[in-house]
Amino acid sequence: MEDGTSTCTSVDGTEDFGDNPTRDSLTEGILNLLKPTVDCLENSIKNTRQSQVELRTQIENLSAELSVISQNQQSPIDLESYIKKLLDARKRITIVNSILQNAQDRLNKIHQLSAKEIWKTLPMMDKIETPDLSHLSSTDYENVYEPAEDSFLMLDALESEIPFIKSIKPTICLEIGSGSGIVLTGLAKCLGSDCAYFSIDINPHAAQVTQKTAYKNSVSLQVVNCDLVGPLLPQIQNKVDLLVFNPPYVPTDENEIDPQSLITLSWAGGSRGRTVMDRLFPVIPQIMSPSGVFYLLIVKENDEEDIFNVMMSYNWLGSVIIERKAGREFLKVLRFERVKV
Amino acid sequence: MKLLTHNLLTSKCLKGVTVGYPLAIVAKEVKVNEIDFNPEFISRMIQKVDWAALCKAAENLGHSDELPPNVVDDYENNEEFLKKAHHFLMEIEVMNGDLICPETGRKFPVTDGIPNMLANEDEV
Repeated sequence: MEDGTSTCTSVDGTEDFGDNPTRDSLTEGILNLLKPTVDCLENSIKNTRQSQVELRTQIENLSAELSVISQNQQSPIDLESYIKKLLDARKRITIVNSILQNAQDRLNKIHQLSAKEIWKTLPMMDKIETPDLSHLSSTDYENVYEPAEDSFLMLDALESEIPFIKSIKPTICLEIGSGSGIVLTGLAKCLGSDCAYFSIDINPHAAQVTQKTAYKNSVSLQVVNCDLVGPLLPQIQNKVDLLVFNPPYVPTDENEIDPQSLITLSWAGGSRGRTVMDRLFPVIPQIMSPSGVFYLLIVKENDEEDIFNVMMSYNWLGSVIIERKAGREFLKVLRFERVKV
Repeated sequence: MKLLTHNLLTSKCLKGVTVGYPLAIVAKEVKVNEIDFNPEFISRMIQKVDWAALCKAAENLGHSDELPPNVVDDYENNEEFLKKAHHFLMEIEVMNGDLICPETGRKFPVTDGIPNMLANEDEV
């Protein structure tokens, strides 16, 4: 790998990433630094205003009383001028008061803005940015599946699961059939260096392209060119914490799954579109760690109820986490977890 | 291919192979990439690693006796040990060479850092 150094700095260096954890935590830090000062200012303004209001009432009372006194009895001192002075003072207090009011309004605005920013930065860390694929050309896509609706639905599904995924603290993430590498790269960018990412593809071109996509996006993926998890068995047993599979799901004739045509292998799914995924299901209970979670993309024709039943026979419980109609395809992402006993 | 990846690969899927692990490494090109040390992650990963196979891989690459033969007790708090594990698992990469089945001698080529573990139909 050429960019070992950049692999690890990706998390805390570059400025051209939309969700840059460093920037986010910096923003948060600055906001948190400013917040007490702003709060303090606001409080003192509030207090000043309150005492000014009190002072104003006192002055009003005093001047009223003084006028009463001056009217009722002849005084050796001319109270009129003092009353005028007091009324003058009251005017000035009113002016200062409105200035303070303005200041407070502005502080309120700052307050709202900073709250908004803090709100924005928090979920930022749980967002999956679509990886940069500008290094790939139409020539690459002659042999490698070009990301389409299904790839983006998987990314959206994983994004919605990030808080959960973080909660299980994955150590080993595995994607089978990585193609362009878009999904695992996106996930790796989001989860960072707390996890190792393995990518499998039966198509050597896809394996290379996945590697390139990882480099391009400054993440480190461990790419293996193989058929499902064959050469990882039995070593991978009980080790996979997060498994992602966007299989060839299109229902085709069995003989359309042609090892000679690599691009066909990326989508041709045989009968009900199930041939390839059905080969993986039996090994799921073996390879997954106790808290492991498995995400699978399917289309309606794959028969989700039947897939749920197959997985349930291994004690794995499935649910639909996202679905989307894309042209003729009705896509869904399923999530599977071990039934806790 | 990091040694972390090598740690998971077997040739057991080949016909007639009973263990197929660990695969021997004959390296033509090895790279060392500096990677940020993440002790918490390495501690978690060590629980998933076959240590004897890692030692053997290190030996294949000419680093005999650089790793302790066993995972040390209380490794989570042993920075020196974790740094060594980090170096061998994450930083050393075989860019080109072969992985060799210990039972049949079948070679699996590693090209540009990617191991090709595909077996022909008549091999499985």
